[in-house]
This record gives sequence, C-alpha cells and structure tokens, in this order.
Amino acid sequence: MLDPNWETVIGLEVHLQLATSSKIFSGSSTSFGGTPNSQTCSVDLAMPGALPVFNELALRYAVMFGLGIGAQINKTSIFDRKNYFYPDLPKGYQISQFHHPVVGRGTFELFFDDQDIYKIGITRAHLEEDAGKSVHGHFDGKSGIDLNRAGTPLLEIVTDPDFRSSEQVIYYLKALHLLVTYLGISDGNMAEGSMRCDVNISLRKKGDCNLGTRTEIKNINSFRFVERAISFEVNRQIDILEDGGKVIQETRLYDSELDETRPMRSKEIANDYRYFPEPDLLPIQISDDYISKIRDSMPELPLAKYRRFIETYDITKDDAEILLASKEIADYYEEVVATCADSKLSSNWVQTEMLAKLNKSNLCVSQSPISARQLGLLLSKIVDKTISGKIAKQVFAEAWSAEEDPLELIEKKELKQVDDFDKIHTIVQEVINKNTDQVKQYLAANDQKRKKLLGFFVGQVMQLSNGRANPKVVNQILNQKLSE
Amino acid sequence: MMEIHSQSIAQLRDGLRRKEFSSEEVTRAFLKRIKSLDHLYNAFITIDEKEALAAAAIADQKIASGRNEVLTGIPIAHKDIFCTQGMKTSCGSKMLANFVPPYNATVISKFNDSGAIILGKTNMDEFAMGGSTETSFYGACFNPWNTKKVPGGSSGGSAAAIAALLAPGATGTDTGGSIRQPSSFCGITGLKPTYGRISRFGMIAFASSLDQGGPMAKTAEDCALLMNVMSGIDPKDSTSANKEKEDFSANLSQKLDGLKIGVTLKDCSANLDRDYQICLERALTQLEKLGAELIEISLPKNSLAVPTYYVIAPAEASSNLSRFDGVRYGYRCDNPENLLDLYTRSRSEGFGDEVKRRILIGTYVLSAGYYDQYYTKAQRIRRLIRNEYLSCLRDVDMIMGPTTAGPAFDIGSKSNDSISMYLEDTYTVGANLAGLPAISIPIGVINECPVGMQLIGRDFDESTLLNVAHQFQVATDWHLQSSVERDYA
Amino acid sequence: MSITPKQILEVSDLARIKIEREEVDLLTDKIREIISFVDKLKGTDTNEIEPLFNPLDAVQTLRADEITEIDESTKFLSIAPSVENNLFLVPKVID
Repeated sequence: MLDPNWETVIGLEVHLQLATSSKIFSGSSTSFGGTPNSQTCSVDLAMPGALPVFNELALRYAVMFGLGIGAQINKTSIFDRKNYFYPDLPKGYQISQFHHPVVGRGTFELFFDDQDIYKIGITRAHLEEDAGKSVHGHFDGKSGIDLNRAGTPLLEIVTDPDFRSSEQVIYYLKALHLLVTYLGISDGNMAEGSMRCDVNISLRKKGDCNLGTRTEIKNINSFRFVERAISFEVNRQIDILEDGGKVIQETRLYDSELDETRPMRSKEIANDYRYFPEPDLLPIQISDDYISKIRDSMPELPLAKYRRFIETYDITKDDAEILLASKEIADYYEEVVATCADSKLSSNWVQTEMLAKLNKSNLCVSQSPISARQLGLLLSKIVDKTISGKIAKQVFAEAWSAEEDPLELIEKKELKQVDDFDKIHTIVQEVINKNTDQVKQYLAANDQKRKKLLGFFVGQVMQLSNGRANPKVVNQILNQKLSE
Repeated sequence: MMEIHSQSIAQLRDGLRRKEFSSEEVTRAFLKRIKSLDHLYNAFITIDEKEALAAAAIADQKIASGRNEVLTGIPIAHKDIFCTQGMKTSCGSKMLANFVPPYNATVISKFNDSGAIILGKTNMDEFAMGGSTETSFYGACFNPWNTKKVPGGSSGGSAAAIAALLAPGATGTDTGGSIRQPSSFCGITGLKPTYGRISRFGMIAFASSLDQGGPMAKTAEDCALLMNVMSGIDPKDSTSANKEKEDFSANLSQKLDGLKIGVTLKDCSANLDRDYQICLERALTQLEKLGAELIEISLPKNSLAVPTYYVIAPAEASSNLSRFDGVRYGYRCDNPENLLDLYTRSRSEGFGDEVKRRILIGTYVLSAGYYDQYYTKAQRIRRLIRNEYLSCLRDVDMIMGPTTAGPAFDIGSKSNDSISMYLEDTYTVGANLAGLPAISIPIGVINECPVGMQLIGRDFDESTLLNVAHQFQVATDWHLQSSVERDYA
Repeated sequence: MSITPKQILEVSDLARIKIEREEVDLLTDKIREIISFVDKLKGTDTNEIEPLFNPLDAVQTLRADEITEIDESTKFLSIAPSVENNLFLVPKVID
C-alpha cells in the first residue's frame, strides 16, 4: 500500500528505564505501582535545598549498553539541566545529558532479518531522569500528580534515521528489547512503560538524498502501536505531499483508540530548553579500569549466542531465533542440552512441548512446572531408549499438569520401555493368536499390503504393552513370527 | 561576671562547663533581648521560644551528666535559608511564608548533633538576592550601629543579631559576599569557606556553583568553633568536598612570622573612601607587626568579577527557582484558571521584584542565541579569574583587601539603582567565582559605623585565615567594639 | 543590539513570570541597563579558555544503588496546597 514513489525515513528515540532498585539521583525505590507519591523523597519532590546524588548502577548499565553495541564510551560525561515547566517535572528542569552523553556513536546489528545482518547507526545514548505521571479524569476537571516515577533512571537511545519501514523498526525494537534483557539492564516491559518510543518520520521522493520535514510521535508504548502510528503518519504525510502541501515539523501524539496521530497541544508553546551544565553535579569521569571491569563481566550477547547456537548445536537459523527469543529460553535450552546431550532433540522439545505449553498457559520460562534439568533427564531417557518418544510426551504432559518430577512419574507408573525379548515375545504370540484372519491376509499379501498389516500388528502389541514395548524389538519379533 | 549576652561562644561554652550558668539561663537571656530589642532591628523572622527552652532543658541535663558535645547548650541563630524541620523556613519570601520543611538541612542536623540550640531564624534578602536585607518579604533589617543604615546582606539578619548581642553566633550563606559584607557592615567576623567545605543540602539554592554556608560570630575563635560543627563531606551533596575532618580551633596560636600576605590596595584605592583606606593601612601595619610579610600584588581580572557574577548567578538562580510553582509547597495563587495561570500567577505573586528581575535576566542569558555569548563567556572568564587568584596564591599565603567599598550605606539609598547595588559586591564576588575561602574581620569604625578587611586564602585553607584573624583579634579590639550602648540610649 | 520589550515578554513567558503591561518599559530599561553592564565581558579574549562550571576541582562521587529513603509522603503531602487521594492537584493537564 506504500506509494512506490516515496521513501519513508524513520529515526527512533527509545527511553529505556534502567533496572536499578533506587532512583538515579535519590535513594527512593523505583518499583512500579505503589500508592501515589509513596516512593518519593525530598529530592524527587524538588523540595527547597534538596540535591541530586548520582546512582553508580545507572552509570554501569549505560556503559554496559554502550559496550553491548560497540559504542564509544565517553571518558568525561556531563549532566545538563533541560528547563521547562510541566507538572510532572517537579524541579522545573530535567537532569539530562546534552553535549556529553555517556555513550557516543555505535552500531546496532539486527540479525532477525532476511539479510543476515542489518546495521542501525546509534547516534548516542544518554542518561536522564524520568518524569512523574499526571492522572486525569477525576477530581472535578483537575489532574492529579504522582511523582513515584519521577527520578527513575532512563537511558535515551537515539538512532540515526536509518529505518525505511515499520517492519525494520519493529525488528530493531525487538532486538533492542532482547539486548537489554540479556544485559539485565532493563526489564524492557513496554506495557509498564519500561521501554517507550519516540518515532521521527519524514518522507522523501525515491532517490532524493535530502531529508524531508519530519514529525515526532511521542511516547508510544507497544510494538503494535508503533507499527500503527507509523502507518497512519506515513499515509498522512503522503496525502499532504501529494496534494502539494508541506509537512509541518511538530510533535504529535498517537491515540490508540482512534488509531490516529494528532498534534500535542502542550507542545504548541515554543520551548527553549536553556540547557546548561547541572551545577549540583560534577563531571563524571569514567576510567579505563572501570570500563574493562565491566567488559570482563559482560554476559554473552544475543548475536554471539545466535552464531554459537547454529554452529555448536547444529540447529537451523529459525530454531536458533526461537530459542533466543529471551535469555531465559536460551538458558533453559542450554541446560536441557547439557543434561541430555542431544541438541536437536532438545531444540524440538523446547519449542514444540515447552514453549507451546508455556504460551498456552500464559507462563514465562521461570514459571515452568518442569525445570530444564528435569526435561533434560526426561529426554535422556529417550536417548538411552528407556522410554519411547510417545511415552515421553505423555509423561511430560502428566508431569506438567500434576507438577511432578517426570522421572519419578516414570518410576511410579512403571512406564519404562520393555526391551525384554521373552516378555515381548509372549505379547506378540498373543496378538497373532487373536488375529488369525489378519495373519492369513498377511501371508497372502504383496509387499505393500504386508507393510500396512505389519503396522496393524505393531499397534496391537503396543496397545497390549501400554505402549511400553520397544518398537524395534516388536518389529523384529513380528517379522520373525510372521515369516514362520 | 560579664553579662551573658556579651560573651563569645567560647566563653559561654566554658561558663556552661564550669556551671556558672545554665543553658536555660543563656537561652532565656538571648530570647529576652530579642523580645525587647528586635523591633528596632528586625533581625529575626521566626522565634520558637518553647522549642528553644525545651532544647535548653535537655542540654542542661546533658551538661549535668557530663555528656557535652561541642556546642551543648549554646543558642545559635540560623539564616532563614536553612531548612529546619517543623520550623518555618521562608527564605525571606512570600513564596515560602507558609513553608514548614519536614526535613533538616545538613548544617542544621550537624548543629543539633553538636548540642546547639536553635535560637531562631534570621532575616535576609529574599532568596539571598541582595546586599542590604531590604528585599525581605518580612521587611528591611536595620543596622544595630545606626538603624538608618542597612546591615548589609543577604545575611543581614544574622549579622545584625550578633552585632546587637541578640545571638552569640549565627549561620549565613555567601553567594557573592552575603556573609562577608554584612559582617563588615555590622562589625563582626564572618567566614565564607571554600566551595564544597560545607554541605548545601537543605540550604535553599540561589546559585548552586557559588553558594556556600558559613559561620558568623563576634570572633575568629568562635568562627573556628562553628566551622568544626558545620564542615565535612555530606553524602547528600555531590559538591561537598571529600576532605579529612579538621579541628579549626587547634590551629589558632600560630605566629605570623614568615607569613606572606598579598596586598591589593593599589587596585582599589581609586574607589575607596579615604577613612576606610586609613583603616586598611592601619590593619596592614598591625599584620606586619605580628610578623607577616606584605607583598603588593595586582588582580586585574577582578574588574570582570561583578559582571561575570551577574551572568552566572542569575542564570543558575532562574533554573533553581523554577521549582517554586505552587504545586507541592509554598505559595499558590487563588483559583487558577488553568495550568499556565497557576504557574504564572503563583510565581508572579509569590516572588518579589528583585527576584523576578534576576530570574528574567538569568532566563535571558541562557536562552537560545545568547547562551554562548553570555553564559559560556562568563564561565570562561570565571576560569581566568580563578587562575589569576591561584597564580597569586602560589606566591603569597593569602590576599588582603577591603571587604566593601565603605561603611554601611543608608536604607533606601541604593534600592532603585541595581548597578550601584551590584557594585557593592566588587571585592567579595571574586572568592565565590574562584571557590576560595575568605574571611571578613572588623578593623575600625568610621562615623560610628564599622568596617572590615577581607582575607582570601587558598583552597581549603580556612585554618590559616582563621589563625591570622585570631592573631589580629588578640592584638586589637575592633571586634570588641559594639553597638550595644546605643540600645539603652 | 540591546534587549527589546518584546524579548522581555518572551523571556517572561519562558520563566512563567507575568509582567503587567504598564511595567514593561520600565523593566526593559532596568534589564537593559544590567545587560549592558555585563556586556563588558565581551571585550575579553577567551579563546581556548575552558569554561569553569564549578569551582570544586573534583569529579562526581557515586552512590551505591540502595534504597535509603523511607515513605514520608504523609509529611510531604501535608504541606502541599492541594491534595486528593495522595495526588498533588493541579488544573487539568493537557497532553
């Protein structure tokens, strides 16, 4: 539906809440929810004389992100005040970073794409404090201000205008989500506002190298809304441009109920933020030692893990993609492999049994009733032929709903595969005795028909053995008996 | 025995320890004087007699059981810029006329821990913006030496309270001279410590990179005692310096032999009153007699200090004062029509003219298109000024000069002339821009009004300043001259 | 170029300070006087001089990530001009 004459140019600013337990400049808790204003202190409330003191973990997390995208870490970085009046901004200025962010230029490598790797330029990433929230719709036409969120550390990650479609944007956001959760620097929870997105959109004629006038859509908090907002805004701009009009540079808001963007009224007053270095905080110096210690403690990142999974586990790209969807899944998978030593079997089981069941019951990996080790042990029983795959599935299902240990279940229900030649022989004999008609048919039949009938006998044997008879042994004995 | 209200903090401390009098007697003595005399000076904004006496009773129990801290039982007045839990902290403004902080400034906590008693909160220029204590919402404060004169400012209430013997000591803050200039005008001793020496937490901000709290008292010896209580790193203030705890009282008996004092009188002679020059020269002779070596120096960059200051201070202030918006505390206009109206009217009705003017100037110099031309430029010149001081202080141990242009001026004489009021800060703002410690001590009386000299020291070398000031006060009695007889005249 | 009444009004909008119409000219004169006083700075060569934003020659100290504050919102809310359901009330906020 996109007009082939136009090229969409998109840049993103993602506000990522960092997973510290206290605020960026005060010792108040950052936990989500809570009675309004119960997680505030003199600093968060901008009481007279209150002063900010910087949280080391917020700095560490910013550096981890920078290292994660191979960005330049600025040895000196400076906090600035961004001055404007708004009720959710108690000081009348936001402490942010303007000229000297912690993280400089870097590259974000996307791998969940048709091409192997797609690169997005990261302009910068800087630390700042989150604002509070306005609560509307009560109090007789007034708004209520809750400052619990004020002062939560944010990392604002700014990209170059490198996206050409909303699909790429979504890929990036998902990959970013993956990276920051792998790093453990954010829970990345969009619904709770841990990851919020400002989208800058402009259009230009295909082949034109100048950028068109852009609009900025603020504060979108779900992948779906990002996609919709972009789609609406692109069409809106095309309509304007095709009619010979001009796009106005402005800040817009995405209204998910009406599925449209519209200008933000609060941004209509021209603002002049009067940035200047925050005199209550001194310059931050980051030593090489500090950086190298962080570098040494970095976890394996998604892209590296992706490559390793394909290489060492001999699984397909698609499989790897699914298994890397979160760090928890990847860790789970690796423990299953380590326990049962069959990477392909593990991959199939984790995807088709585990993830399917988790999705169905809306659980996350850590809530799985069957631990990775338990699943690994169960699969090792398939590997060493103690049980069949089919039995394993039954055991898995039963263990899942009963929240029991699968191995104990196997013991308890005597579900171990029967390999014993004599036992199986007895059952086979019984089946042959019971089905003399079929035996006759078999003996008279051609090869093709014989195969079908053999299936029937195997089925009967399995039924009588409660599925526990080793199919190989069953086949072997049946073949022998029927050719007698 | 000397009357209680005439005694220094050190004398009161010794008297309390020797049980010559109780803390309750001391506290009552000052409260009584405030009640009977402060209508003449308007030095105090808030007094809480009950609280003060309750604290005195506790102090007396401590003294009786021998659990004395540094200042146990001694009443101290605090500039109304330091937040005091449960006690109104107005900053001299209508904006905070109803503000009772639920927390203490670090300086106040330290005084509480030292056993001191909060005598009351002193008058000041609104948000510390002024040099005369005339811009207070609570009315002008008057100089105890001559009530037609200003006490100086912005810590004018603290200075007047000490001069009128309504308090033995007080806290002040100094952004461009607000401790030193009123100390000079009121004939007392006041120290602006090195930037970072004293926590700014809970001290209502005027200009964050310039503000510094400090002690004001009759003597340098008392200032040293107060410094022992006030100073030290504070985890709540990122700009407080990580320095070893010092005993400022321990270093007050050093001879001045070999001490090099840089003298800047040539730079300022053209602007100085002749009588004041005589006082300064007399003080120099005294310092020389005490063993100091005088070296003439020049600080040409200092002529840029006042304009530099009047860019940086309003810029920081314009931002610092944005939090006063009528939402969470302080003044809120009646029946705001909308959000913009709430902000604009609360601020316009809550702030006085000088504060508004400085907010506008600060907003202007930070605004797009002017930032580099004014703000960045001023910060560059600030470095030149600091470098010049540092270079001088490599050759000399301290720099001596006038604190002010002359003795206290008449009330109302400068209120309509901003520039002339700003130029009052000519000799003091340099130390704020450079972050250096500076002390003002009395050196004479001109037409029944005192004048002081200023000594500027090296970074974190308050100790040497206090020692020189103390040695000077051992040898002279200007600091003992008092306005008090006039109270009863 | 010296500051104009229009600029003063723009600045006062930014600062949320209201200036009465009849005050504008007088205030502009006052501020113009102060601005021309600080314009003295322009004559000084500051090329290659780094700005000095804070006189304390030190770097930022860092705080460990610990929750050190207890909930004192009752005290803080009690001094606010207008509160309901633990929220600070303001005239309607428009996005």
